Amino acid sequence: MIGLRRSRLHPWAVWMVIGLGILALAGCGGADNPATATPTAGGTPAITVQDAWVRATTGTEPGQMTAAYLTLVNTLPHDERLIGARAEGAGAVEIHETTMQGEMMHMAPVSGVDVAAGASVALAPGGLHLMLLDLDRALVPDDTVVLTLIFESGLELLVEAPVRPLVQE
Amino acid sequence: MIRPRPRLTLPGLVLLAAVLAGCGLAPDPAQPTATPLPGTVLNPPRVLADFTLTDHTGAPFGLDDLRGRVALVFFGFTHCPDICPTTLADFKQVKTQLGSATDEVAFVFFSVDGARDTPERLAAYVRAFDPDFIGLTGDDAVLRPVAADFGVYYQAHAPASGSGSYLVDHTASVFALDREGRLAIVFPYGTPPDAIARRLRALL
Repeated sequence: MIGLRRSRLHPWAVWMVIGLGILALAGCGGADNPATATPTAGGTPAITVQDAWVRATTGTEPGQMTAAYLTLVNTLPHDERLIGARAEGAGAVEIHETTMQGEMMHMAPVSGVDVAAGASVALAPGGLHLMLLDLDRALVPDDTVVLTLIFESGLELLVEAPVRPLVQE
Repeated sequence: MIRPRPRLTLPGLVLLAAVLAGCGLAPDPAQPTATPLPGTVLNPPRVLADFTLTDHTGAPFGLDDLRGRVALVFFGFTHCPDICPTTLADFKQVKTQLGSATDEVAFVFFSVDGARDTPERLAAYVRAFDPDFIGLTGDDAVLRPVAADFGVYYQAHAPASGSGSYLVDHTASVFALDREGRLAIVFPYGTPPDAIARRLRALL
């Protein structure tokens, strides 16, 4: 489930991936509030992922799409840039941004998301999100989706994102 | 020249704490503040042109089918991953907050993507939020003037190469119709469900 799929990761990246894997596994039991702590808080600088979740699909037949949300936290001394992602069971993942032009909703792919050194960026409803396309199954609450986040530096992070219901109380 | 750094003294800290504490104070309930609810009330309500679309069961559906009830309306498309499910989730919360009064309210999702949003697909979509929600679809030639009557505009993007999937930009306002099927309130995108519920109660 958790693995290093590329050999050209930096040594610190390996630790981050391992750390996130541990975090993701620890987060399995609590679907409501996953990954709220960083494995490296107060420790090694890293890119970490908080509050990752995926919205349940609205249909049951294959080929559904939905959105994934998360917050990227960069405690590294340099900027990072998210340039893509993969998701288990999705034919494709695109980074999209919803913007409002007056009351007109506009949604478009973006080439990447910059996360400056020391900064955090939220991918949240009504703004940036990962669009998961061509899913091979319906996603229902309490499922998890393994996301691989791909950064321009070559860093890849794996995170397990719980599926949340369409209507959250 | 060396400028002295500003220092936070103990009295300063106490003052700061007092100010910060004051920020969190709830307004005195005995003195209600006149905060207007979000949403533009049309006075008089605007008469809409009748239409015939297809509902999520495949049956014809027109403005007459909404008369006698208050209706909450949103235009979107089922391949929309972000704004549309967020708004329909809000509709569900409005329904919950209205309690028993909800029998007199129709929750209607108009598709702006008739090419992909078949009645079957719409049925799965709206029922994923609530079994009572209504989905309406039709050919673009029929949908466009209906949308325009609400002040809603939409534009499909060119399909991405390969997948053939495409996105649709659309007006994201929420509309309330009165019992006569007239446009009564326009809510800006993102209006909290409790504010919508309070406004709807006034129409009931």
